[in-house]
Amino acid sequence: MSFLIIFLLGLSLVYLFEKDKFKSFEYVELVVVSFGVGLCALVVFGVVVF
Amino acid sequence: MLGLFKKSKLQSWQEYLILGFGLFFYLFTHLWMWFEYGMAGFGYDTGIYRHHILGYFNSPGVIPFGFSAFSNWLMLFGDSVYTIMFGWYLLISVFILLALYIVVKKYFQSALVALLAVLLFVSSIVQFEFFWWYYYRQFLTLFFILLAFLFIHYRSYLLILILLAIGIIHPLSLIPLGLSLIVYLFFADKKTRKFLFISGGTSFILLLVLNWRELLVYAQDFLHYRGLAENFAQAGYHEFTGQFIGWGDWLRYSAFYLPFGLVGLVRYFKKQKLLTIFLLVNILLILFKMVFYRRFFVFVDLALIIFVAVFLRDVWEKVRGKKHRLLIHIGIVLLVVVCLGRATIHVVNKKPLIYPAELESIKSIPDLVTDSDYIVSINSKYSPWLYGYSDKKVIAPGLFEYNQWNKEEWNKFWYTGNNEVRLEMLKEYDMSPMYIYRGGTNFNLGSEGVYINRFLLRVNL
Repeated sequence: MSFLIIFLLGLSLVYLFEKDKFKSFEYVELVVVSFGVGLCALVVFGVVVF
Repeated sequence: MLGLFKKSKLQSWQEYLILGFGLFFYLFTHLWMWFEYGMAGFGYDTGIYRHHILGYFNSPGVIPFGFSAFSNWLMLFGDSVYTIMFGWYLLISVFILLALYIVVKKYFQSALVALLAVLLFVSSIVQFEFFWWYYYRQFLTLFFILLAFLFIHYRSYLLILILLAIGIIHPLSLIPLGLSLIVYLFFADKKTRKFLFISGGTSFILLLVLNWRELLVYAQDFLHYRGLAENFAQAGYHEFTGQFIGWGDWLRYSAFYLPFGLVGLVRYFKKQKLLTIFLLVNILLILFKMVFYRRFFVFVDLALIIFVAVFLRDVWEKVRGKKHRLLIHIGIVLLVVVCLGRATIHVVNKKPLIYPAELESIKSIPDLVTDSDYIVSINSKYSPWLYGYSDKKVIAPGLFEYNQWNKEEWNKFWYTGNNEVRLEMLKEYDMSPMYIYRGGTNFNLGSEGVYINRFLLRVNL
């Protein structure tokens, strides 16, 4: 569940900020990048919240 | 495997087959110790991270640890401490491997280089030891650093988010990356330079604003000891070398691929400026023995592996003559097989720091010790485990805030044959009873110590 939340958050951010590149990502790349971006976003938000 | 590369380009299924094999071997080495010993199969920092994962919720008012910005969310999403410590740690390791594959493929425009890098990475004893030591924060930031390389390649301003996350989770990892980016400014084209100025500058300012409390703690110590591990060690903080492998171990572990990496570096340092700078900056930080310098061997090994991979690709593709091509291809396959074999032997022969029975006994301490908030760790190898699993305040040699003895006093406590002297020393802590976790050592207090179980002593003072 937590992985899904992070992945979807990252996917949204990647789509929002890199719409042009989004379509050119390979599947593995998209999964890795989305997960990574989602994790980073959570960390940055977390330092504010916690 | 040789037949797979008859065509000049790898087909998708061949790529995924080799990547799949690499992932399988990676999981084998990374799960072996856990299969054999459970969580006791992990390294020194395991207990410390357990303490910190729970710590935010148990210790309000304490300056938040950057790592909590990661673990707290997972706790709130419903993940257990065990899932965060094991499941997520393994998941991150898989994503590190996949990120390496993607980054190398992008930087070198070659699936073969990426696959060779993956195979070398999964067979790297340095990378296995890094995983095993359980430096969770730096492990996370290794993934983020690879993402940073990817976003630099794309000139994507998502880099700001990545750099921020690195600086929050493990500021130490930002030092070699940050220095590398600063040096790279002098070699990059105009567009990249502008991009790096904006990304780097923005993330730096935001990092100061968001994480100033934790950074202030580090900065004070860093400035006091001038950032050198030697100065920390002289003050008694030996762990500030980084507690990882040194030159001797690194050379031994990388012996089979180091020469190829050096040739790869010589051939590609102009074309791969950022990677070259990253490698050299990390080497310099090690040579100058900067605080936690031993941790930078992880990054040196990573960069070197990539240079090895590109060199091997060049040799693989450019050798002339059918007979020579076959010999070279067999040679490269043998090199990879030898590295994989060496890693297998290393992993299978590895012994844990503590054994499952000792960890189970530590986990039982909250139930067994109800009349004291403290526990003495008789041997430093138990200290982090007691810190994370005993729910007690740990009095440990050279660690944590409850210890009152210096090195000489601990030596006296351990090696005096006189139990009365030991009891007098323990009275300095002004508490009774005192519980001493002796683990598998033969420490005892004669008739003064009562065995709660074979690992735990109780003494009334």
